[in-house]
Amino acid sequence: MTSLRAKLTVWFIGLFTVVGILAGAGTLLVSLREQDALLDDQLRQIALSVSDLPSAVGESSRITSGANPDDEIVVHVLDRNFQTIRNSDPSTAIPVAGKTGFSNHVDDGVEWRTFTLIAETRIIQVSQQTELRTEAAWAAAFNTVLPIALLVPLSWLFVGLLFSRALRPLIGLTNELRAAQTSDGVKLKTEGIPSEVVPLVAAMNDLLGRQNELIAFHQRFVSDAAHQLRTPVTALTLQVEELKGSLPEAGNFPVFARMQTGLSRMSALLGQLLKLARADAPLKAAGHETADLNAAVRAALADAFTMATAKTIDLGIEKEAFVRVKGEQMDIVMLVGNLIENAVRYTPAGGKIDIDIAILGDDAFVAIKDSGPGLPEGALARVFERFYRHAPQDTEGSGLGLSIAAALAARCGAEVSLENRKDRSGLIATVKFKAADA
Amino acid sequence: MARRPICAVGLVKEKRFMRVLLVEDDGMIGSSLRSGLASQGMAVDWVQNAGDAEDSFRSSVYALVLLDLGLPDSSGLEVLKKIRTAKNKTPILIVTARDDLPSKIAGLDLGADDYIIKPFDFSELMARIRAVIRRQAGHSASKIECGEVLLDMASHEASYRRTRHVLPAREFALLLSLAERAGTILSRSQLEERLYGSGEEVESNAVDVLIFYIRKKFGHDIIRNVRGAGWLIPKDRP
Repeated sequence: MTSLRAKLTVWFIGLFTVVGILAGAGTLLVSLREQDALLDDQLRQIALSVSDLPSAVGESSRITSGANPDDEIVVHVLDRNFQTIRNSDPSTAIPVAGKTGFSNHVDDGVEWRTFTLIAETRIIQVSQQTELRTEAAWAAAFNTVLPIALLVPLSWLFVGLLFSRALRPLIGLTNELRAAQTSDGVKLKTEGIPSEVVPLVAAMNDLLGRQNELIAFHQRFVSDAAHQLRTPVTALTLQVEELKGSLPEAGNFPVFARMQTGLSRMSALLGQLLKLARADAPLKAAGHETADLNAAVRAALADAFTMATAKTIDLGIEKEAFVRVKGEQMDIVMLVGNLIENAVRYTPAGGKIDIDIAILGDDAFVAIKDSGPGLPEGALARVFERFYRHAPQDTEGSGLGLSIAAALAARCGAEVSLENRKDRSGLIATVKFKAADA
Repeated sequence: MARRPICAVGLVKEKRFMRVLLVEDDGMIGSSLRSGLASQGMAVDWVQNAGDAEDSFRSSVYALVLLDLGLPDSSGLEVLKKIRTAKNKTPILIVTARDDLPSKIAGLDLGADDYIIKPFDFSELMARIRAVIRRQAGHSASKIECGEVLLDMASHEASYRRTRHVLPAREFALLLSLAERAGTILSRSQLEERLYGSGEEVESNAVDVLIFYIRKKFGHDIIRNVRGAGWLIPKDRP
């Protein structure tokens, strides 16, 4: 996976850095050369100004250049017979060149840059230590390069900011798209999106629209079909009762009981199909609702209690933490209720079902631990499939309970998982909820 | 969708030879219901569309209306609205295949007395009919019946299965709290809140003591323990 932003950022930072280094180096070279020329010019100017002075003047033993008193300059004035008239620093012994011009000398380990001027009556020699010249040149060059050196890291910062700003609409788009999967009829906004990306967004909107239509159609179909089937099932139920009522010895025919069982299974299945269609429906609200998890578990517990009592199953809360979670109260009651009902259905008479509510970090957990037979590993992965039933067909239940639970969990951002107890003494169904922000 | 508890406030008294208007467009359901209700001693007028329903309603007086919402010519909700706008208080029981919350709320808001969802069987329908009639008959609200528990508010008499006792105030109040919200678990603190004033000092085992005495009179099963959660009285008869 490559990030456009990272790629562009690295390339632009690299580019700016290379340009910065080249510009800096170039400026440094030019500046050093210019400084050299400037200092040479200075030496010549001093020589010329000394030559213009009347010969009597010039008692001053040293002439210091105005700008920098450390730029020690030695002025040596001689007559045409190379006899010293004045020397500002007699300790130096720089050989005097025979013609006007610049020259370099090493005297006593110190390097000098010298300008010699052969005037009409005098010879003027102006010298400066090379080391000092170099120092001054570098100092000046450094000042020239400094802004560039500072601008390079600043450009990195600028590049980073620019790209994260330019790509922000894309990040917003991603978040919007992610939210769109769980809500109904959302269209992605094109405002603030770069024009290059707008066609992509339009295409996505198209696809989203079609997908929503398809989902809505599918849900409507399941729900409509189940609703439509309710009337004939009711008609059939009533007919069977009427028939049974009209036969005095109806009690002798077990077929009536079997027909009624079949019909009640059919109506239970219709009910489950409707629940599933409803659980699959996207949330109308944006999902900011929170629910009292403990109250939801109690309500689900109360709903399953009669069924558990009939099977003499000991059903109760083992330990609980008190917490609010994200989701709609009704959804959570139904979700936990489905799992408890499932546990009651598959736990043999006289068994035990414990419910735990715990908080771990930002998550809240509900665990339903039964003392049933558990599930073989192969079945664990398949139980969330629609109409999959591990138990034999004559067991009550439609094979939709866990699918409904999973769909409800998806609605409130929760996760359902099943695992066998370590010692195979039953099944643990766990729901991980997102705790509501306090 | 949880079913409405078959609990009723009012006098438990059968009404005989009631005249019932049955509005149901499905032929099979209609004929079965007509013969079923007739066998219960009711006189049934069966119509299959909204227009006929309104005509019958104008010309006769009924003790009860069974109203299907999905009618061929208009919605049953329209019929309901017309009946209630005419300030007619005849009990109306909606019979429908639609159990989504909005249409349920719409029905009850428009003044239906109860709501029964297809598929149902005849005994369930009769229980609802009896409950609606009882509610209509007795606004005196002197008795509460829930599952197997019957409470007389005036005399503080409670009956359960075959036992019947007049209870001390606190025991009666506890039983009433649970019966009013039958099928709902009440925790110790919720019960204490209902039984004792806010300033009152409550012994930590006060609720247990009351329940112990109630069970001693009626048997252990009148109030069920829900481990780790609290107590409840089941909503349905087992």
